[in-house]
Amino acid sequence: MTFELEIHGSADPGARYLSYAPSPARIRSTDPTATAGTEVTLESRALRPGGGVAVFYPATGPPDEPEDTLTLTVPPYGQWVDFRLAGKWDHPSVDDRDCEVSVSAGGETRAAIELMVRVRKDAERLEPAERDRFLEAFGVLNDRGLGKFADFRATHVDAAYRQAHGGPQFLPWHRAYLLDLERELQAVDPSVSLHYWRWDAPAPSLFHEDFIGIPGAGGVVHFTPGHPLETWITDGRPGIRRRPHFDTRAEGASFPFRGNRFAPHGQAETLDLGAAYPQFAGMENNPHGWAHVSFEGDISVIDTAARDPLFFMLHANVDRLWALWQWTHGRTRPDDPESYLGQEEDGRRLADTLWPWNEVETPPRPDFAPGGPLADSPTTSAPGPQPTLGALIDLQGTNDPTHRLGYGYDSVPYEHALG
Amino acid sequence: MSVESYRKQILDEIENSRRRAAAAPDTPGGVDVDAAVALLADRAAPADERRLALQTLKQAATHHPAYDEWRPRYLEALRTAARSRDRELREAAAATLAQYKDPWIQERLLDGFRDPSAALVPPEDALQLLGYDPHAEVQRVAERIADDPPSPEARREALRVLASDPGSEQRFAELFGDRTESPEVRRLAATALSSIAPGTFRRVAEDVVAEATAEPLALDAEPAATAAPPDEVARHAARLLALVERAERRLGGPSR
Repeated sequence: MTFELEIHGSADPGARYLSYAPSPARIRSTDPTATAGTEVTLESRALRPGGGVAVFYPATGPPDEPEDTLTLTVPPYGQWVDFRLAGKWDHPSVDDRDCEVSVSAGGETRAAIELMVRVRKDAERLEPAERDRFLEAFGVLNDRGLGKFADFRATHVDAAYRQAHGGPQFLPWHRAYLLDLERELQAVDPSVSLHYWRWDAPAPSLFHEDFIGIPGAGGVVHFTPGHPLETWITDGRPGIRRRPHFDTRAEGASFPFRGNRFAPHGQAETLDLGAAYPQFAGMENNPHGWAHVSFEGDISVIDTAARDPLFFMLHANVDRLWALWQWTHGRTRPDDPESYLGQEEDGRRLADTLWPWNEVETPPRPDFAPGGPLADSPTTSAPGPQPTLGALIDLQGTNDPTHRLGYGYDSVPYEHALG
Repeated sequence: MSVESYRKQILDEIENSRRRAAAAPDTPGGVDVDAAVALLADRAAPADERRLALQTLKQAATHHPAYDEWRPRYLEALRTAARSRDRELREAAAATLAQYKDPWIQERLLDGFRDPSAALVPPEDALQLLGYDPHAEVQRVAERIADDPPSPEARREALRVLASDPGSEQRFAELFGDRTESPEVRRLAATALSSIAPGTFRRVAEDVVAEATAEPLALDAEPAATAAPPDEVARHAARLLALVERAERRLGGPSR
């Protein structure tokens, strides 16, 4: 008896990446001699200590709780049976293909595939190999200032302020922006995720010359010789200007304020901003704005912030806090004003497409649109090449599986929508 | 940890934060932009209060719904602050203006090279800030400083400004290949050269890497198959070579 597995509609190993949200999968028999259905058991294990583990759901409907194993009856040769697959909560991968999903029948393993439970993680807790893959991908995407990263740098500027800032579109716009970048990083190395910087805790491993760098001569960031970001160039200038206002080895982000130190909101304060979107969206001010200006240098001004890779990790934490708030308060339905409340301005309504991916260069949009359509993914067709704002709300497909964006966070669980 | 336990942990953290917030010291509240702009521009106000106003305005510029409306006044206040006698305020304002590619600060920074008594900031800082918008006159100044630097720091920043100048190809090729130069300058030169003239970079880099490994570079080998050169400049060159070769594969041929 032999079997074939597909994930995300493909047998391609490039599609074998899971988040915590259920992904479509299917199995069929490839044994032409089979004349009857076969009962099979699907299960998963980590292939190394601390590796990823998967869980299973039936094809449709409840139960809402995932199962560690799933028993199916697979018809004779050729007919697919659907099911769903997800990363097991709190069991993300640390390496590509460190998670196995196997098929057994009659007490024997009949097929197995290797995949990755790929989620964005707290950068402070990455293993060295994860960190190095992340940095390597960034360095390749920048490619001495000549690579596709230049489009991301050119997008986040003052001239496009109203597309991305100063309103309710701030969170969904940056979600799309980070997703686009992450998919380009994954085109370099599919095992990479856009890990986040938690500014409310000391991060001595992150603020290290082996990782995001330390202040060097003249306020330009210093890296260990041979580091991937030593080749970093933006706007024709090598290097990153960044000097923290706080002791990165011992403190979370802060800056001096009238004899004290002021720190941006931490996780708990941010989640407590309010249970409705208009209240929570105030996080654009605090903690987001204060996190930016906890440094002197490129990251402290919108026009130059995207020259610093740390900016993307800062915003990954912004997005993570939004995702965590969504999960905490059940705010994942785009048509629910408590999940999102727009404004009457282009780029701020649910049905509006987002600049620059919509490639509109006429007023009221900016007169430039770098980068083209949003990158696609082998793991989902969402949010589409020219996404609407509404397509960025339900990132895990909690209410509508077709909205699943194909990424997640180590600290944001998946729960099926209730009711 | 189960999802249920995790949810309880999150809710407990929120409750604890509410208790802490009740005892929090005076903190920056909602920004009164008009007041902050006026304070930043007020030459008679204490420098530390003006610096705080600058900080709060920088923060507001990341999120304020009416930013476009007060941006012109903000920039004008920054220009006033950039002429302050307080060094910290002057440098912070100059840096912020430079990040906005403000033509006024660019002229003031260039003035400092024409007349050192008019310099707002040290030459290496001026070059670093001018590097946000390295147009022709900035590059001319950088060339002069690179040829006749007042300090190693100024030379380093001048080279950084020239990193996007195709006319500096020969300069960077010589610096990169010069073993008497500091590793920092050689690495900077290598990075710049690899971007403005990948073909020239490749020729110099192969010599640099070969010298460090004391064996001919296997040109047909995958970069990963080459032993990591121990010299930090050679290691940096090898990384840049890998990027150049990757780009060439993508484009279907070698660089010029």
